[in-house]
This record gives sequence, C-alpha cells and structure tokens, in this order.
Amino acid sequence: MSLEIPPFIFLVLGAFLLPLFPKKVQPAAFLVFPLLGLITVWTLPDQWTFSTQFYSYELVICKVDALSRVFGIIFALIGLIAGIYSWHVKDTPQQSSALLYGAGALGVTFAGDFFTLLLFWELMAIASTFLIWARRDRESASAGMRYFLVHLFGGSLLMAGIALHFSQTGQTEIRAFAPGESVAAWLMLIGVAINTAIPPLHAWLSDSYPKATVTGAIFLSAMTTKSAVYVLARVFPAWEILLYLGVTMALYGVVYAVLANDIRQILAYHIISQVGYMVAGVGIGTEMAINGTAAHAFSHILYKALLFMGAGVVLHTTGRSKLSELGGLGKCMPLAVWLYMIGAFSISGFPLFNGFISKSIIISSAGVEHLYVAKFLLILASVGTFLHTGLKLPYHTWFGRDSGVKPTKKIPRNMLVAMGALAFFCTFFGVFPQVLYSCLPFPIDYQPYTKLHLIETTQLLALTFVAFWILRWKVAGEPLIALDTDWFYRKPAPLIRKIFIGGVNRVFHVCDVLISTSVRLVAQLASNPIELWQKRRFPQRPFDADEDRFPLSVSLGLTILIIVLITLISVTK
Amino acid sequence: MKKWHWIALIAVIVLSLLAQFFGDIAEEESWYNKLPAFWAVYGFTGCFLIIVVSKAIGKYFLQKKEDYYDEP
Repeated sequence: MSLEIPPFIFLVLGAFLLPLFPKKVQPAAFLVFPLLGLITVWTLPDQWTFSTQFYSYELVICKVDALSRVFGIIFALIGLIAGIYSWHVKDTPQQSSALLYGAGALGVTFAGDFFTLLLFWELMAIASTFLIWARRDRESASAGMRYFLVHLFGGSLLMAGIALHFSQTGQTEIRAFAPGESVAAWLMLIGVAINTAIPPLHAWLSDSYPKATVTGAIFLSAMTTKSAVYVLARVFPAWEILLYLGVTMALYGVVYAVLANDIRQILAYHIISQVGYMVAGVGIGTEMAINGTAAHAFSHILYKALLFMGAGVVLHTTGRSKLSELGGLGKCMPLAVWLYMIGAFSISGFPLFNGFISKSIIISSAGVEHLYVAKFLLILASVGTFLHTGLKLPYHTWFGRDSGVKPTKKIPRNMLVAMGALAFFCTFFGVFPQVLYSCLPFPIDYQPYTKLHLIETTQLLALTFVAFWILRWKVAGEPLIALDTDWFYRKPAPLIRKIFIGGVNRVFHVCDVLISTSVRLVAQLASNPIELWQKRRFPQRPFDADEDRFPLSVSLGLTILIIVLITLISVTK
Repeated sequence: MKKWHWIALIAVIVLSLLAQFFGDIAEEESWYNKLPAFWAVYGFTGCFLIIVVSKAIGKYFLQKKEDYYDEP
C-alpha cells in the first residue's frame, strides 16, 4: 500500500477535525493522524516529488529522499507515541496544536523549496507556543511569549536570508550552500541556529520547555531543534563553524545542567548538549558524520522523549519538578523509574542502548578526520550526560534523601504504556543497530560493538559513577536559578518597556491633557464668557450669577446702541 | 547502594581494565588506547572537573535567587 500524498496533510487535517470528534473518542482519533502520516512517510517512493504552481513560482511542497525520510519517520512516530502519552488529556485546543506542530515539522522535513520551508517553519513556531501557554499559569504565559518572540525573530532572519537569496540568484530550490557562500546563506544560518538552540541563541529552550505542559513538552523536546538540525544537515553541511559551535554546545549544556534545579530544565539543557553532537556532525560534514547526525537525531528523539515522560510523571503525580523539593519518590513509582532509567542508559551511551550506536558514529567521524580536540571534548560531554540524566536527576528525585513529598495522583496507565513503547525502541535499536543504519542517507560500514569501544565506554561510565558518588551531595538541587543568555532580553525588558512604551505613552498623555483642557476652555468661553471673565477677576470666590452678571441695563444699552448704529448706517446710505 | 552493587561495580571496572591487555587492539592504534586505564582516568577526572568547575562558575557568576526576574 502506498499513499502518495504529502504526509503533513494528515496532521493538518487532524488538527482541524479533532475538535469535531466527541470528547470520548478524541484520544483515539488523535492517534490516527500521526499513524497515517507514519505509513505515508514509510511508503512514499524515493525521490517522489509533489509540486504546485503558485503564480509564476513552482513550489515543491514535498520531496522525499533518504535524509528527509529518516527524520520524517521519527517525527511521525514520536507524534504517535506522544499521543498515547497524552491519552488522558482533555484539552482539545492543546491536542490540536500538537498535531499542527507535528504537521509543521513534517512539512519542514519534506519541503523542496525555501518558501515552503519558511511557511512550515512559522507554522511550527505558532503551534508550539500553544503547548507552552496551555499550562495556563502566569509563568508559562510570559515564558511562552518570550519563546514566541524569539522564534518570530529567527523566522524573520530566515525569511530575510531567503528573500535575499532569491533576489540574487532567482532560485528557491533547497540545496546545500558552500561554506560562507553568501550573506543570504549567513542570514539563513543564524535563523536556523536559533531553532537549533546554538548558544548564545539557545536560551528560549531552557527557559520555556520546563514551563510547557507535561504532555506538550514531549512534542517540544522532539521537533523544533531536530527539524532545525535536519535543515542544517541539508543546507549547511561541512560549514566548519558548526563544528566549533557544536562542541561548545555539547559542553555548555553540561555546565548548566549541573546548576539547574528543575528536572525538566536539566533535561532541556541536555537537549542543547545532545544537539551539539549533531551540529558538530554537520560541521564535520563527511558522509559518515552526516549519517551520525541523522542516526543520533533519531536516537535522541526516542530517549529524550522517554526522559521527558519520566519527568512528566513526577510533575503530573506530585505537582512538583524541583530537585530541591523532591527525593525518595522511587518506591511510589518503581515502573516509571525503570523506564526512565532505560532512557538514561540510552542517552548516556550504555552498550545495548541506542545512544551507544549513534553518538559514537559522530565521535568516530571526528577521529577519522583527525579532529582529536573535538573528539575528546565530545567524550567529556558524554561523561556529563551520564552524570546528570543518569545519576544526578534520578538519584535526587527517586532515591537519596526522602523529602516527604508523596504522589497525590495515580499515574495514568497510558503514560506508562507510551514510556514502555519508547523504552522498547531505545533497546531495539541498541541491539539491532543495522535496522537504523539501513535507513541512513549514505551507505555506512560502521561497527559500534568493537572491543575498544566497549572498554572505553565501560571505563568512562563506571568511573563517572564513582566520581558522582563521591560528590553526590554537591550536585543536589538548590533553590536557585542560573542566569543564561536570556538575561540580555529579560533584565533590560522593564527599561526598554519604559523607553519604547512608557515614553510614547507619556507623550500621548500630555497631548491628551492639553487637548482636553483647551476643549474645556473653548466650551466655557462659548457657553458663558462672563463666568470665565469673572472667575479670572475673583478667583477666590465662586461665580454667583446674581452678583457677577452684568446689570440688565448693560445688555439693554448695547441693544439700543446697535439699533441706533444700524439705523444710522442705513439712513446715510 | 547495597554491598553487592559495589562488588559488581568493582568487578566491571577490573574487567574493563584487564581487557585492554588481552586480544589485539590493532583497529585503532592511537596512543591513548594503548595507555592502561586511560578512559577510566579520563572519566573520573572529567566528571570531577565538570562538577567542581560548573559549581564554581555558578556560585561566583550565574546563580541567583528564584525571584531574580520578578524584582522591579
């Protein structure tokens, strides 16, 4: 069976049809759309293209090749599993936004020209913001607004780049740019870098993901950054700057994850760290490295969603997500802890789990290109990954000191089912890496399970554990926040508001006062000039009509005078 | 951590250290792969440094009270 339609169409349809279903069927209906999307992505023939004429332009809405297919499969799959995880959610607008967001991600992945790409890029920005706002509290409202503004800014840069590129070359077709090719390419790169969360343009991620809804965070963790990684791999392969930025990112996230207190913020910083590997892979740019980037994005989406689901279980059942308030919860949710730990083993690169078989491709490709500094720094970052996601977070949430916090709600069974499905995939691809390798964009001859690699990993992980155990109380949560680059737009915000909104408001206010005063004066002058005059003469007492009005003789005299004057004028004429 | 956890951990570490001396490691003859316990030392010092350095950066530069952004 082969459905030859652009796969995003099912999710767009879903977003609009979902509210029409009765509430009871909605969770099941939700699953149908990503499932249809998944089947389509799976079965579309290679190089299948769907294009349409828009005025004099040809828009390539959908173009399938191996690179886009592997990203498309994982986006549709995660949409499906996140749908199971949010089975209990009764919030239709939120679920519709999630589908629309998925449609955006699939649209970006299969876009064949830059205009189509931009369209879906913005769709993602808008739809995903609702997943943050859907939590409906003050913090989420402002974090969502910041998220939205940053993404609008990124979208504008991308649009500026595309427009410039089009005006210079007349081309809209998506193709790889040579490193540093044109100003337009640089503009596009910065726009994409915002979505990829490359420091210093990353702060939107660690700011907003911890404030999204429990289920919305799963979609968020999977789509925005990874679709941007896809665009990097497609358009900016072998841009050397990406290697440096990627390695920096990988370590940057690690440092901040030490300082983070919110469990979902720890995971958010580790998205930045993990995406760093992928960005570095794009920067290396060899076939092996691009394969590594695609494979790692695939693995990463699976285990990161699993980790966010584990953190979501804690938040859903206890209403808390700060390490400094948690501890000793393990006995209340043993299954969730185990499933989370499978995600943690995967992200840490334990043998038999999927991080092991994908991260190592990127690291090895750095070695093959003799980029030893990059290789060692990336390995250091993976030490940090195990330290935080595998040790710090679970130890201080589920083990360690008992905080006395107990779950107040039961874990919905669907949450555990979704986690189980992801845990299955994380292990499956770890045990059978060839299944994933066969989907990669370039032919690959890579063997992750070598003796050397196993020795290296075992020593690294075991000794990381020992160091953690010695310092485990040093990484306990503290009720503090760590400033990040969002400081640059959050702290001056009141001042900027004062200048750009306060200043303008003041001018308007003064004009308003001036106008209303003059209108009042004119009105008084017109209605009773004598009152005005008398008030000026005797400001100390109120106007008294009997006393202050001119005597009757004045008006009579004036009338007679005018009559006489008119008579005289008419007679003399 | 129960006693048998520690025993298992030590056994794994010892095994991985010994494994370096058996069989051929010709596939990638980098100097660091020939050094015994290289990755163990790298993992331990790496983890140690990550914690200590990050905590220091946090303490002296980055960490603020939770209501930092709420203040006028």
